[in-house]
Amino acid sequence: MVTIERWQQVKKLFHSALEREPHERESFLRAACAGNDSLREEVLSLIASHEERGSFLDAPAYEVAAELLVEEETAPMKDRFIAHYRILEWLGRGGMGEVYLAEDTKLDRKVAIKFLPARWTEDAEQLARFKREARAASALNHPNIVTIYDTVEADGLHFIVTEFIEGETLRQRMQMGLTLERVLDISIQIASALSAAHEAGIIHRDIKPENIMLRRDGLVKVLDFGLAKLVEKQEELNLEGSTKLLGNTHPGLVMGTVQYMSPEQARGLAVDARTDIWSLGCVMYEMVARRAPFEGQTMTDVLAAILEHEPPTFSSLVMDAPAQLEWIIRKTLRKDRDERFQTAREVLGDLKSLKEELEFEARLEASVTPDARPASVSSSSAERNGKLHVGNPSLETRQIAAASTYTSLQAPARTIKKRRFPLLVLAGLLAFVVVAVLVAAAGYKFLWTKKAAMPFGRINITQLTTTRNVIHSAISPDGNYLVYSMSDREQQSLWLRQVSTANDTLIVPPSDAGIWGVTFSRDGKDLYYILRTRAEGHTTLYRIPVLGGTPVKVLANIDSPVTFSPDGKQMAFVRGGFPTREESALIISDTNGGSERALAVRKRPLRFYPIYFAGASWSPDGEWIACAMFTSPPFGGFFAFRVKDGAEKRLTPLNFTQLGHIEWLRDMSGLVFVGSDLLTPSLPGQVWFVSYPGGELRRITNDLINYRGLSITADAKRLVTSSVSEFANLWSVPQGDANRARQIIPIRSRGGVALTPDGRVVYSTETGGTWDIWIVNQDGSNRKQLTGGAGHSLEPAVSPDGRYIAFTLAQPTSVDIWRMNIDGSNPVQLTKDMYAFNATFSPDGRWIVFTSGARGGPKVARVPVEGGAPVRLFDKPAYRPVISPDGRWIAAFYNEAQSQTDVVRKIAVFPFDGGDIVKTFQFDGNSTTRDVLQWTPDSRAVLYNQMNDNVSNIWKQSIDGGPPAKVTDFKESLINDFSFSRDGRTLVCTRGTVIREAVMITDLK
Amino acid sequence: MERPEGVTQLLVDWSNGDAAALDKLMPVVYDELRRLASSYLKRERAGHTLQPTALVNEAYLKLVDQRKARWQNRAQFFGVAAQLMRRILVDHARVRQAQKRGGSDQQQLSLSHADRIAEKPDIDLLALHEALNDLALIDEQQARIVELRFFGGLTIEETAEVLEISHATVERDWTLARAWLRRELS
Repeated sequence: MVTIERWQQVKKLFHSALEREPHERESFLRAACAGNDSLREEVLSLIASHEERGSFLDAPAYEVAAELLVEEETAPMKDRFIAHYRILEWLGRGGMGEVYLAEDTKLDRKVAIKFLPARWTEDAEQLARFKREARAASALNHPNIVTIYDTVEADGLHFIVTEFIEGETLRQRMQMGLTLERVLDISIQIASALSAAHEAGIIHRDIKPENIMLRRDGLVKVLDFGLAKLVEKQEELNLEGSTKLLGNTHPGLVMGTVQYMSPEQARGLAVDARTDIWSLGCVMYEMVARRAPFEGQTMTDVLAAILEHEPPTFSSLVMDAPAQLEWIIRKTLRKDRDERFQTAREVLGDLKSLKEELEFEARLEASVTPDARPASVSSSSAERNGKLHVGNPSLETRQIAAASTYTSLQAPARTIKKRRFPLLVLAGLLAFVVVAVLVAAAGYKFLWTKKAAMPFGRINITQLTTTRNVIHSAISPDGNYLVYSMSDREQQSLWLRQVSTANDTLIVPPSDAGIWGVTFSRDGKDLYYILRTRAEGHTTLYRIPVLGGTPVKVLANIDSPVTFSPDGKQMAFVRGGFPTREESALIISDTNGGSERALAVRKRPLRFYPIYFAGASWSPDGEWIACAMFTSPPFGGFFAFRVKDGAEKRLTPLNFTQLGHIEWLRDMSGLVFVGSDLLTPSLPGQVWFVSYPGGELRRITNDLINYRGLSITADAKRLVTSSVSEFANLWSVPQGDANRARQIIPIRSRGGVALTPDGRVVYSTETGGTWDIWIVNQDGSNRKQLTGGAGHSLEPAVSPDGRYIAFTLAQPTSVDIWRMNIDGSNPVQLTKDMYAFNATFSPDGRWIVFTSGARGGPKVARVPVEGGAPVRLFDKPAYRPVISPDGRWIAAFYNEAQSQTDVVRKIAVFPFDGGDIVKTFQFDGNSTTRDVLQWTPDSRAVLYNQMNDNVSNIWKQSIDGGPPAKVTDFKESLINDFSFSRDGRTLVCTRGTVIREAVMITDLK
Repeated sequence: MERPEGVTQLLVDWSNGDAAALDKLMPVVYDELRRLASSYLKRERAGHTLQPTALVNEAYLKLVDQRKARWQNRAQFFGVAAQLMRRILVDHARVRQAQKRGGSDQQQLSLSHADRIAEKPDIDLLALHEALNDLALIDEQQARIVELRFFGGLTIEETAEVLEISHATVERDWTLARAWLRRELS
């Protein structure tokens, strides 16, 4: 044993020797040890040991330890006696905890034992609740319900003892395919179990194929009655983890957790027996169609489908099923639970009579001579009669055979689409672009053939978060960490997530400050983020070690995320309003914020985009920095600036109206970026690829989701961005009274809504990729599509006499105002190449006033309704004009420039007949809702929507001044569009929810 | 999310020098790791590999109230977990040795796990454990580095972060500690 002093010597000599060439070490040590041979030998032997190659201690012992942990968890249970139960075998892990097969030594029977996790039982309240539920459930005595024998507390363990079922789960059974007869039989048994339970006041809450056991003798047993409620909280926790983990490899599996959820569960509302009816419907549907009724690639997609979509008809899935069965299933799957079967007993009754009918028909069939039978099994699902041959063995076989072909048929259906989300929030940062300019995708097809060879030609999009409110996200270079900022009740916080576990660590606690521009350092060890104070808008860049530590302030006045030089020693970023108000700069500094220099400075109208969803990217060879730049707002593109001299090179065309983040691919074969251009069908920011130096453009994503921000892993295989998607409904709100609000129809809208003088609703919504104008009565009846054809028709406005509808038509190369008759006939183009939108009629019906966005910012202009030359009304940047009912004033949103980075959006009032602003009002508008303005009937006030705490309401600002007043009192959702009737009595609006999540785009190539 | 009361406080106490806090902390962390490891291994069968730091990170998140703990506590938590892993492995090795000596039926142990531990690190864990104890007597820091790296699965950088020393120091100490241990065990 060496002493500590001796060890210090050894240490020093060991390292000094290692720094020397091997052949010098001996002589070095001889000299350094000065005759102390034992010291010298000690060091030499350590060096020898060091030199021994091998992987000594290289692989952490951790994995093995983890396995041992599990071993210890399960193994000791075996043969253990608890109370009078002897544990026989570990069966699995259920929602609640470990499940074992055990022997009840008193009654000499096999039982299943479910242990409650210790963490539950520590909580007395939780435990009491559990016992209550279990006791209630144990009172259920029904052949189709797994019997709960006992709840036991022994040796400090809590568990429930239930009947042990030998058999398989419905999930397993479904994979083999089911005959129609069996489908009916199983459905009837489940419905029977549900009726019994519901009548005893117990709701299952988690009916799904995994919870239904089939015994070999055909008896169906429903598991875990009443217990789902207890695990809900727990599942919520695990959901994220499982979603993500499985999401990468088994997208289908993940959804099991939500696929059977009812709309009311999805909305987080209270559940009742009808929730179980819905879930039963899902199970029945899946047994017939061999796919779940509501599918999607991500959990959000599934939830969206549950809330908004009707499942495909069986005939569209090429399924043979009696129309009556389909009718029953559809009635269990009504979104509105008042429209569903109200009791499981009703479902049971209908299923039973269907079964009887079919059996009767089958008997009739059997009495007919074989040759007289129809040659094929039902060709039309509508013709149920005589086409079903339940009970006939030969036909059953045929059904199975047919079923197996469904797999291939359903494959395309299964891979379908990411569900298309309604048009999203257009970052109100460039507020005037807010109008939905949606233009057809023509022109990009020719690139499809090359797709596969290009990076991100085939992609998989995985949702990483489920918080619904992710502002900004970034992936670490090694792909192991996701950092994201989220907003909750107007407060933002920054979280670090281990991608493999989907678990989050809070890095910056919630505060009023905005957290933006999160970026990992090149080596992935540090995290940079920008805090922006809410009141003053001061920005500061901070750095914090990923593993933990204290944030260090790096520099101030920064307006984009940072990007790092390949050696990680320098960084670049955008600073707006610098060095003068009219300029903006691309700046390089060291990573501590020192040695700043401006690589490029541009003066208006050229402008580096000072926004946190944009930002520069330093090329892997260190020579170029790519960055977005507006050239003639609202248009811009991406450029590269040479690090050594600031020379500029264009990377993309300059027809982008939304410019986001750009990233080089590691091999410099191209770049990926977020942007939207005039030639794409969606205004929201999409993810693009542009080759380098070729400049060939291709869209990576193709949906109606708005992507914001972008980061890429070092291997260039994965991108992370934030997706902003939206669900909405069209509502009719008598007197603007939130309590009387009625839902008219689901709508994918930011497309605009208007009322006709006779109270019908005209609106624009997206179907099948294009936006069209529709008309519907307020009770949802008489819905008619008015436009359809080239381009997207948006923002309808109805003339005061109810004769015309003016609207925006967005086509591949133009955005202009058109007019048509109220029935959709006789469309007439009123503006040409004006990038015109926001049409509104003057009260006298003679003019259409609109916003023109062509070059130089949004301007308010007018054109005669009957056609003629457009005239500009107002020179300042303003949009969304509305005219007061007395015809004297125009109110519009107005971008009042404080500095380059700081544009304050106000409501301005100016005379209809020309002249400068007479009044402006500041308002607390928020960029996540669309800007809508309307005058009150008395011409004394304007109405607008405003969001607070993720709920928006309509507010009223009197033009005489004074504080704004709240008009509506909605407690949830965001208002995207609204329109009051001219008498102010009726409000129609589209209200929805915005969901913002971090998503990962994986290159499948 | 329910968290056992006090874990956060224990961690803070421990980081403030209260050694007893560690003893109270260990069983809780142990339970959580055990639970997590089990679910991990199930996922692993579905093609996912176990990542040590991910496991500990998850345990940390489950146990520690992020709003009360300091960000630094996370690093300390990794230290606790590494010690725990060491104990588990060593205990297991002891049991196994005892079974061998007692000639008990090997079949009773799950062979897959037993075999893996026997062949994987290519090391006599008990000997390593004792050598590590010896090393701690002359150079505690080096012993902790080995613990964090080998038992805790931490990288050089993470180790540096936990011990609040430079990467270079970790690297140097790790090199020497490995040489020393290898010699002791050979």
